[in-house]
Amino acid sequence: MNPTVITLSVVALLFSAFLVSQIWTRYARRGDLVSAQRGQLVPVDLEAFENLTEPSEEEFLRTNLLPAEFRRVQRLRIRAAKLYIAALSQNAGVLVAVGQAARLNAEPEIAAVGQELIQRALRLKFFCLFSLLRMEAALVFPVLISPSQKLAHQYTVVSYMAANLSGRATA
Amino acid sequence: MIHFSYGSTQDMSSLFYVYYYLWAAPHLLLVPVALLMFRKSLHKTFPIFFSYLIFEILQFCVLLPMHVVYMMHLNIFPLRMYPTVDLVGRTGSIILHFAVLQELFESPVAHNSELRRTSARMLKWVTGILVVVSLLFLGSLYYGTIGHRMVPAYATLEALNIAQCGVLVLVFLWHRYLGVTMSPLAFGIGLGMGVTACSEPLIHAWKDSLATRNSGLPDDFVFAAFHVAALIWLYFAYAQKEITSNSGSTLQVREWAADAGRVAHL
Repeated sequence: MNPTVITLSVVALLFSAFLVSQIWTRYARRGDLVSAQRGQLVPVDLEAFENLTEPSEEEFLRTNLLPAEFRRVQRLRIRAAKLYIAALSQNAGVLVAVGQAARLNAEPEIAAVGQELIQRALRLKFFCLFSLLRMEAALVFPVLISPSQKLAHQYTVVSYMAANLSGRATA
Repeated sequence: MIHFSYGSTQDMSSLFYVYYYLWAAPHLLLVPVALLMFRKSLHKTFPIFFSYLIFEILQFCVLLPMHVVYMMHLNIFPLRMYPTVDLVGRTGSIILHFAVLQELFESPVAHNSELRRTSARMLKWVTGILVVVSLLFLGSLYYGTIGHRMVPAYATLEALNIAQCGVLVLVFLWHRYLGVTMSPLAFGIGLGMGVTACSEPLIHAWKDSLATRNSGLPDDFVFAAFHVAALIWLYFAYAQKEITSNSGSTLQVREWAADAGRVAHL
């Protein structure tokens, strides 16, 4: 048999398996996913995260440490910050799910807050993605690139919005 | 939709009718899909996919009569016109496929112009890279094959289809990353696109293999795959409203929001 046919068949087969996995995730495991998502909230110490991304802290370390030592410490700080961002991203995903449930609610007020929550949480997800990419670059060039500080503020806004939604839904 | 002409010497056999059935039926199925979308105002949510449906229907309405005339060697229009129109149709279909995939990719942030622009930019870069990688991959495949020292002309088409598969994987993973549940129709569009995109490179390669070079079977398989895609779109266009109306009860929202409220205090 022609090797081109074999290779393309393998590609098509892998892609078909991917499509089947998507159907499986959507339908067969739908109930599990909803409950699993609720259990995915991760505690995040925002103060510690802000400390890791604070420019003045970085400047202090830069002036008081030798260049090689600064690079080593900065890489450790960036690795820690990456873990925080992964947790923030996970929580933002849960907030998107909450927003989606609220958006379909019969009460227009809750539906409107749900829609707003989705948009804010998605923005947070975008920030998380770009921050992670920036962190990866910062790991390679710790002297040239600093971690972004905007994420903590975004997260605070979105999480308090979710708390507000909780109050409205209970009322 | 891609279609190929049978040899002019082929008899009017049952296979001939199967070929025309498989060509006509999925395109006819697209009419109720478009009507359902219009009735449920889904053409406003997925305008590019709606345009794609209309394009496919119009293309079919033009190509089928032309094909019949071409096969019968009637001198109504120049014989070279059919392949030209066919090529234009294929090109339009491929461009619209990519546009539909972009529409799916942007659908979670459709209400936010800033995020939409950002995601569009991201997708354009990734699509460009995928197309180049697919072209290189197929080029190396064909070049390395015994008896193929030249890359076939339709390899570009295959590469674009493989790139489409890649973009589609990205669309599903993107929704997964954002935590957004795809709407039933968006999911259906993705599935249908996936069925056609993954079948076409396979069929091209199959046609290219020596054993089946003169067979019409691969063409029938392409149409059958499009038939499946049209049925998927029809089902999901029909199912769109019923699935969403069952979700979002106040009790559910209350439970979830209480969980989410905890986020602020974690």
